[in-house]
Amino acid sequence: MTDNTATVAQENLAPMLIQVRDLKKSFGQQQVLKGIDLQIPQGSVCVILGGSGMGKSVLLKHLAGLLKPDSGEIIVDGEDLVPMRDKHLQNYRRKIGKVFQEGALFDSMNIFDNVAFPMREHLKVSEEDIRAKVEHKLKLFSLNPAEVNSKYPSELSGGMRKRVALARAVALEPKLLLYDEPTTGLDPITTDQVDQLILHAKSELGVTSVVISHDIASAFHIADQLLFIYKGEIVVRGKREDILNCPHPYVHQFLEKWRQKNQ
Amino acid sequence: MNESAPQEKTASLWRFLAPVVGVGHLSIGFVREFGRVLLFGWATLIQMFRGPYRAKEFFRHMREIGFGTLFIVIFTGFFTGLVFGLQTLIAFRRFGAESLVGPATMLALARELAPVLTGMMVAGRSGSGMATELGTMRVTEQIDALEMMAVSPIHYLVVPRVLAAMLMLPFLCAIFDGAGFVGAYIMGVAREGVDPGIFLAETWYGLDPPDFFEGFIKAVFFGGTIALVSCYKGFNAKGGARGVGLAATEAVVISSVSILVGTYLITELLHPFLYGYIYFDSFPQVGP
Ligand SMILES: Nc1ncnc2c1ncn2[C@@H]1O[C@H](COP(=O)(O)OP(=O)(O)O)[C@@H](O)[C@H]1O
Ligand SMILES: [Mg+2]
Repeated sequence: MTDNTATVAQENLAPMLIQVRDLKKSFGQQQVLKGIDLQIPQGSVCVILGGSGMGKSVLLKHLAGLLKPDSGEIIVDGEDLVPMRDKHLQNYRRKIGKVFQEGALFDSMNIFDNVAFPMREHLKVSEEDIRAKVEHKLKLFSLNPAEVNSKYPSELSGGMRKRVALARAVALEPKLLLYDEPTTGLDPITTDQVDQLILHAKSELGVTSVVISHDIASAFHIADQLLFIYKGEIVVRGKREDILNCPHPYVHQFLEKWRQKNQ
Repeated sequence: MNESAPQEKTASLWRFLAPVVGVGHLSIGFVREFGRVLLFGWATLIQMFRGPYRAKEFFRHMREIGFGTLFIVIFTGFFTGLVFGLQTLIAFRRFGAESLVGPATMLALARELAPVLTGMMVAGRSGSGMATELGTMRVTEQIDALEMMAVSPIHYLVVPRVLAAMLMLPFLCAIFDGAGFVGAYIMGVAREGVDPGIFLAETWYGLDPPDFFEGFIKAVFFGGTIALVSCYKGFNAKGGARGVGLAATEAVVISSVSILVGTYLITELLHPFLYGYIYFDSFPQVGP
């Protein structure tokens, strides 16, 4: 862990959107997070790697305020999430968006209403303004409003659905986007599209992204910072090289398997 | 042989105790589930009084519950009236009391059969629908998405359904009463030859408003129970399509059983009020 201080110090130059200190969480006897320290600069993409059941989703749920830690601090955009109560948390969640694996679009609503939903819930603006905003968000992710507005999620392809999910996630102009395995189960072309969307959200909107992934190639492609979680601990963090040169046996094995598959 | 002997002993002991263990597990499971539904209901009650009020959702579910079950309720009501009229006639004829077939049939319908059977129909149609819809939303993470968008899923999904069901059921129950009356009249007057004047007069004087209120009050409770149980089951569905199917089945079974147990409890609770107090003190006796 000592060799990480250099990268962390370097990133300290940019203002931090997320600061997590010594985050611990147990479910019953099982300690799932064993002291996570994390700093994510504003406007960057952080990718969390690791095998199944290592606590990645649990970490992400803490960032969303869906779970409370046993101990530790989670400071996002200057606010400490840990002592927050329900109402406060709801306000906090308006500042973040989450992109679900399958999109989680409301299948009883058409695309327009899906993207408009968070706006109608939280913004006190007229329907015309909402229409303008929705069309703007759809265009951001290369969707043609005239074409998709009145379609239902089931009528779209997987890649298109993901675009709509992103448009909905950024509907309230969040500062932070969370992605839980956005590409698991997708074909390589759609995976590449999703990577482009993540980078697009960063460059167009200046959003900070935290992405959970299994896919090392795409992680290397999009990440400003990579973390590798093993059994509730961050075993290595940094850039591509830090991961590739990591001596930790599990990381090594993980990379070996990936290399074998790609040859 | 010697080594396996104690194992066989414990095995046979377990086999012997299995029914006890089973009953224990079932009881614990029942109490736990019951408590969870109550907590779910409590959360719904709290959200009910919070804005914004979702009129559009509320009316949509009223329409779905009302129109969705209207036809089967009329159908069931009519045939219940027919067969209950016939059975009552057969019974009453033995005592020479055929003229009372109208009020006897309608009393049973208004107070018991209409709310219970309407409840069963709504549980079968709307309850399973609710559990399926919310269960699908759960397994496709749409409920988590609501939460992430800072919208309370209970406020958005459960409250309008529960309110719509509570309001719609008494109306459906009244329609059941009407259809049942038509059935009973056809059976009594058109087929079995009871004098129409006597049939109508006896029914008019034999029944009182509290008889109908009892049915409507039950219907309100059944509506709330069906919607709450079905939403609860949907909310807790897991494991894909199979889990959703299971949630729908359980929603219907639990709603139906709750209706049958509930109708007994409500009857016991209501009687002192409806017939002891309100009836004798507040409603003037009419008729000869
Ligand atoms: N709500 C929960 N209750 C109990 N255990 C949980 C809960 N959520 C996650 N876990 C456990 O925590 C561990 C890590 O889960 P998770 O973060 O989902 O893994 P992954 O890294 O694959 O996303 C798993 O062993 C899981 O069983
Ligand atoms: Mg996970």
